[in-house]
Amino acid sequence: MSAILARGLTRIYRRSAEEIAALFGVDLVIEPGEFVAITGASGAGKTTLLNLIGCLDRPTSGLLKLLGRNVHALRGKDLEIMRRQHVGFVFQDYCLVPTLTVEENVALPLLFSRALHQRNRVRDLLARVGLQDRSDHLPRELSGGEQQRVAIARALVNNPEILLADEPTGNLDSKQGNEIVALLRDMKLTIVLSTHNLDLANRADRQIKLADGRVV
Amino acid sequence: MADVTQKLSQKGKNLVIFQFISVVLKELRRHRTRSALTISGVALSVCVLVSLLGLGIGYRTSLIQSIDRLGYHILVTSKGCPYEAATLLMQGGVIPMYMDEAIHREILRDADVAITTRLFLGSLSVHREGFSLVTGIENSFLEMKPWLTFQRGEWFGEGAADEVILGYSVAAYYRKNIGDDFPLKGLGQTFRVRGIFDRSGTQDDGTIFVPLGVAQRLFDKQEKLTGIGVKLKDLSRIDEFSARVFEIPSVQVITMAQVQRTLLDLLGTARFFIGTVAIVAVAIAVLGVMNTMLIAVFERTREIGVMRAIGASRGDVFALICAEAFTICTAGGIAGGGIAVLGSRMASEAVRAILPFVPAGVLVQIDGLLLIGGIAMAAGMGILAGIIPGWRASRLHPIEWMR
Ligand SMILES: Nc1ncnc2c1ncn2[C@@H]1O[C@H](COP(=O)(O)OP(=O)(O)O)[C@@H](O)[C@H]1O
Ligand SMILES: [Mg+2]
Repeated sequence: MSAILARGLTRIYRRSAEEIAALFGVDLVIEPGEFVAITGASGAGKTTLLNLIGCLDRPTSGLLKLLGRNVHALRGKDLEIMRRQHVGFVFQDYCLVPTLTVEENVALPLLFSRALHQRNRVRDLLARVGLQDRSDHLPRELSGGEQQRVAIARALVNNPEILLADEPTGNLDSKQGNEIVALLRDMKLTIVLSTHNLDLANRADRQIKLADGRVV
Repeated sequence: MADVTQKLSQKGKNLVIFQFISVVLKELRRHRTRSALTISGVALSVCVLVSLLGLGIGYRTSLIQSIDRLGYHILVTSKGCPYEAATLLMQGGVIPMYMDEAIHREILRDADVAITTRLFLGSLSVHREGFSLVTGIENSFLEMKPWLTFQRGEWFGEGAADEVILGYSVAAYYRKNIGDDFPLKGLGQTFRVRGIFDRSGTQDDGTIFVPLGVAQRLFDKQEKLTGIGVKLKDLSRIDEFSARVFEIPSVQVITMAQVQRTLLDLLGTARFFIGTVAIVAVAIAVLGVMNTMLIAVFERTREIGVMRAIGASRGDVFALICAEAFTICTAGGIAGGGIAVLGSRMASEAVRAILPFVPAGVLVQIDGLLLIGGIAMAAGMGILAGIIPGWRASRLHPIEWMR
């Protein structure tokens, strides 16, 4: 069973009379445990693809299967469960909740999945991203790279099978970016990362290049 | 892997609620000024509401108590406005109409009558400050009001023309003791304090008493009365008695039941308007909280989106926003209720200064039930104010906030 399978995946944005095919007829297969980089210029459709895989958005047409489940057949509640239990998301600008400490941010998905009894995972994950000493800090007290590491811990706390990272290094200098990619490489799960930094992309198992919404 | 279908233990549930509250409180702390202002708005409206309801209860209770403590079943006065008569009864006002003593003799002959007491009410300037009620009374006055006892001193001496008995508050206010001079400035005559009554919790506390004959002479109304208090042998014969007295020309009969109804009617009208004001205040507070929450949702579009992306359900988002409104309103309710309780004494004094008929006693009575009710209502307001913003937040489309 593939972790991610797409056939003819299409997403068309309608804006009044205009139609923008952000993604058009994309086929891809990603196996469990693979570390795949999606590359392509700005506007190529990387974010659109990751949003679809992350169940944040629905395809206009085409087939998308996650962990053998047909996403199209999933209704609101099941999509929520898919997002909550099986997929972790990391954003370019970290998106930590500014009022919560590092530890509370990482624990937040446990609150939403009513799994606070697994809170010992928070400390383990913070140790894995090297921030065990910063758990009481607020996000604004951390550097960009550190915030992104918190975001990765947060994405992993519900123990998902798939981790999606949309330009996770986009706001970081190359040293911090390298650290993030190295950290992700160590995680034993399916990772799909988008980037337009070819050096970083080269460290993935495989690259999928997008241009104008198509795989090239 | 965490299983959502797994049953949560009670402890687990408590933990979830606790965490939710902690997230909400931190969010409120982030916008201290805004939160404080919104909470103050709610506090104000709850304070107004609780105070007004407390006033309704307290006013009613003390009104009924004051009327019971008049001691008469019936007051006979010369014809006039019933409201005026009510005022006269409750706090003294000058009714410029008098009746002849002959009427008293006629009433005394009635078989249903147990006791009567003749009254002559006048108002005078005492010392320099304002006007005070001076009431001319006779011995049977005390028979009517067995609870009215002497704190100090005693009843007027035989034939004394220069003695006063002071109500409790009057004595306290002017710091008078037995044997002290008491000038009644309006009459250019100085009296001596003969007795001081105990506190009765009625208008008698604020009255200066002189012998009936003295009062008639002072106001130059010999053989005239302003009222006759009547106690019947059998209260159930009140209608027959009233009908007979009604036959006497230019006299009206005020039964205490009537007075009670008249004043409560008046109170009812006032409460209707006051209630409207209170409801408007509450509505404004709800709209204020709703507005604040809508702004908060708008500002936090991205944050809410991120929460959805990391697993929050629509219900979770709705609950978070609602809980925030709920917390604001509950905090406001507790603060407002507290202020109302602490300020009830001051509110009573303010009301005393404004309202026309003010019975003695605690006017604004806020009991535990009213307080809890007020806070519960505020909490309910919070949920109400959170519904639309919470619904909005939960409906945000994921990719809208990703942009
Ligand atoms: N919500 C949207 N509405 C309209 N057009 C959009 C929307 N999101 C993305 N697009 C368009 O779709 C294309 C792909 O965008 P995106 O997936 O964000 O690319 P990338 O992440 O590779 O930069 C772009 O042309 C972008 O303008
Ligand atoms: Mg993008």
